[in-house]
Amino acid sequence: MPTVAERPDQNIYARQLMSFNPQFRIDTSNPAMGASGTDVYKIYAATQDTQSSISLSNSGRLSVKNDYSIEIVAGYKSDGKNEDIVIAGLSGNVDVVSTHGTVRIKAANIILSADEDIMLKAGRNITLKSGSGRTLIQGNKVDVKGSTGTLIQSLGEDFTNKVFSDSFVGDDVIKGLFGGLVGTVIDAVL
Amino acid sequence: MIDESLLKSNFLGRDGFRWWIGQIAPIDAWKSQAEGGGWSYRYKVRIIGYHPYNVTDLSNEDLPWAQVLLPTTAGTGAANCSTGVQLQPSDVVFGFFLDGDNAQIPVIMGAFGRTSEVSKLPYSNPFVPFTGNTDYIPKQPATIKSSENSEQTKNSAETPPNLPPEIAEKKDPENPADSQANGERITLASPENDAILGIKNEVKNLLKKIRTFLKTAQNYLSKVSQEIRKAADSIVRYVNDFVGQSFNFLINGNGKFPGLVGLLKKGLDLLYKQVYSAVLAATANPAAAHLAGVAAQTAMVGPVKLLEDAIACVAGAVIDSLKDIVSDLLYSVVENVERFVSCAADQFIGTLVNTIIDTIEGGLSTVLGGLEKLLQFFSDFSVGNILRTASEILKSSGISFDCNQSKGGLQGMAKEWVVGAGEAFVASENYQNIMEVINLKNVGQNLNEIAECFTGAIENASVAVVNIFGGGSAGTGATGIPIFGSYTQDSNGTVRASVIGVQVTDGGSGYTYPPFVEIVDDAGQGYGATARALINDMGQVTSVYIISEGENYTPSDITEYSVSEVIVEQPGSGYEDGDIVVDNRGNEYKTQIVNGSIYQVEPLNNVVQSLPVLTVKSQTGGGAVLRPILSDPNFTGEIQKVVDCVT
Repeated sequence: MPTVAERPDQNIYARQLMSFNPQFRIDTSNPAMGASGTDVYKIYAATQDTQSSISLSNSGRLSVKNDYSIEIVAGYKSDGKNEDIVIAGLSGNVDVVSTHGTVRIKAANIILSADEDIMLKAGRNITLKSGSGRTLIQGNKVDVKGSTGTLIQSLGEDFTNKVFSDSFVGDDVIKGLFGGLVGTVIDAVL
Repeated sequence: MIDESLLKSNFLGRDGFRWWIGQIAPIDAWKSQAEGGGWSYRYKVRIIGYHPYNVTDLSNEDLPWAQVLLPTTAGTGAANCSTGVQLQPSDVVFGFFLDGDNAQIPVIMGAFGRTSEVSKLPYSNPFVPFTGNTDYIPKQPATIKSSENSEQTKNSAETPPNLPPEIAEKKDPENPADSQANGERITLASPENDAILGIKNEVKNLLKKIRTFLKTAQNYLSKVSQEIRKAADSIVRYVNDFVGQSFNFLINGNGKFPGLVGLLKKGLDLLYKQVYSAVLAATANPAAAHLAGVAAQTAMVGPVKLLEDAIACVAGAVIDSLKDIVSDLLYSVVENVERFVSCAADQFIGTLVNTIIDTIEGGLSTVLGGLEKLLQFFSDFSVGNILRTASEILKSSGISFDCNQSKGGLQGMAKEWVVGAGEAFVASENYQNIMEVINLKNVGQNLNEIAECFTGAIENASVAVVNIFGGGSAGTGATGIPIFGSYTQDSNGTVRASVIGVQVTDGGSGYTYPPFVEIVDDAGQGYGATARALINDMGQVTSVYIISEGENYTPSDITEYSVSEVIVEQPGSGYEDGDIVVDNRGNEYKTQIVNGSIYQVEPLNNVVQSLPVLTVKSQTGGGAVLRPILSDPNFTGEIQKVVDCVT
């Protein structure tokens, strides 16, 4: 059974701990090594089945963890147009991930503003639906790609049109004016 | 009596000061206070030399109440300033009597800290140490190690560490990780195809999670089943990408396969020629032959449209039908695999894609049957065979970029985040291995039966490696090797080490900002080593310095390393000539100070066995941050340093 070998010469002297009970403590300069280095501080709380902590590691990462939900609420008394909550990454990326659920954003208005590109990528469907107003797609260049669907069909770029593009079958037939009946008759002849 | 009262001043301190040492009685004796029925902070105390060693002569309930003297920093409660008193039953406390020799009004001034040797057993007799845990503050069973001492030792009052649960368990079974989520792999949003990475991470997370379940727990099987269902749902969502790519490839093809569009076009042409020839031969009338050929092509409109409609609907049906299959695959993995290493992942994904192809083939068989007259010309046509030879279904770029789209902002980003550890390196996919599995039609589902893929637990991890990644869209090629130090041994005598430096073996090129540095082994045995890279104006990695040395890594052959460079990360201010830089071994480094800031520190090239900590000895200055860079004095590789382009 492999065991864990802690490094020698740990600075126990610098550690300052305030443990209030088995459920809450503030630990500072604990020399025990963690996955991001040792902790500068850790505020740790626990219930029978929940662990919760806020910690700063020596690698510079502040980490907030909780086994169940985290609630951030602000602005109950703010004016309507104030910034109630600001989450800002000043140099790098801001990642929002829900590994098994849905990222939901709801507001009176939503602005997705990118100085460069906006990329919407879905494994299955993308739905753009406007209510009483319009849906506008505007750009210097607007491309549509696909094999089927009303937009593709109206452009004559659908699968059936592509297949018949070099054939003697006319567009009217492809659009269904004669296809079924003629098809059945000819099939019987063949 | 009269004499005595005449001699006494009845004023604290004037008649002498009566010190005492005593023990706080069991909480049952002062329950009313514990339940809020008393006043102030008070405890029943049994005082050595004043109170008997048994409860027969003086019960715990009849002991005097002792008040607590608060430190000046605690607050008395006035103006909302207060701090709770933390004394517990069995604590040995020290104080004095407010009423001198009457000894009825004790005051507690302080307490003696407990050592690990103090008994944690329940109360037995007066003055015998016992546990401080009570019904009011019970032991916390699972989430924190029970502790009843306050010492300057490594094992005193341990706090749950930021480690993956399995490592924390090995380190100390009673001290769990600060979160069971530690080590969980999160696939970050990416413009590229992330289905393979997402599926791998899903399986790794599943295995990690199931390992934390107690096998003897009554609900073990239902919890496992619940987690497998959750993972299967997620994997099936990732499979959308494969299915979409499969249909895209099937319709549009690639350089080798013309796609169904090309194939059916050719089929229509051949059908026309076939009918034209037959009718011409029978009638000798080219016009009639042409009309018959056209009619034959026209007859295919309906079946082609049916195929078009099927394309839109079969994809969803394929995905929905995969949940049970994925669950079965996951059960197989859970039963047989300890570590989801890359070969096992290749087999899992290969098997999964094979199933998808079979399902697509089955879903399209009816509508393709209606196109028999067009497909008759291609005797070897088979949806399954076509898809099994097309790696395009695995390695699509997700979204195609247009000519004026800058990829820079969307590339060179971390693709994976490990909870508690940070950005993780993701190796390029080896599609060839997966394609080989896909081509093995009869691949089994028991992953351990596949030869040359060891997925069991390993005794000792590999020597740690350094992964340098990210750093901008064009950054590539930087490599390094870890420098080990602070050697120690585990309980089996196996040598383990910390990572005290990184020898950059190739500076790479094209880095627009410092890339991520990851130090890992193949089993997650070592942990905690973090480092940062420095780049020069030419986009090369010049050095890597250690932020945290970590521990428990399997070291390479022990070699000597020296401080070859000192990076002045922050120059500080207020320093004076004569201030010197020293390390924690007492070595002095030549230091150049310009305008009160540290400008340069010359390395000593002295051999070190642990990471030196550099500080500036100064009475006036502060704020300098110095990072020692270690390297092998015998390293012969060429690392490109900063080049002065002006001259």
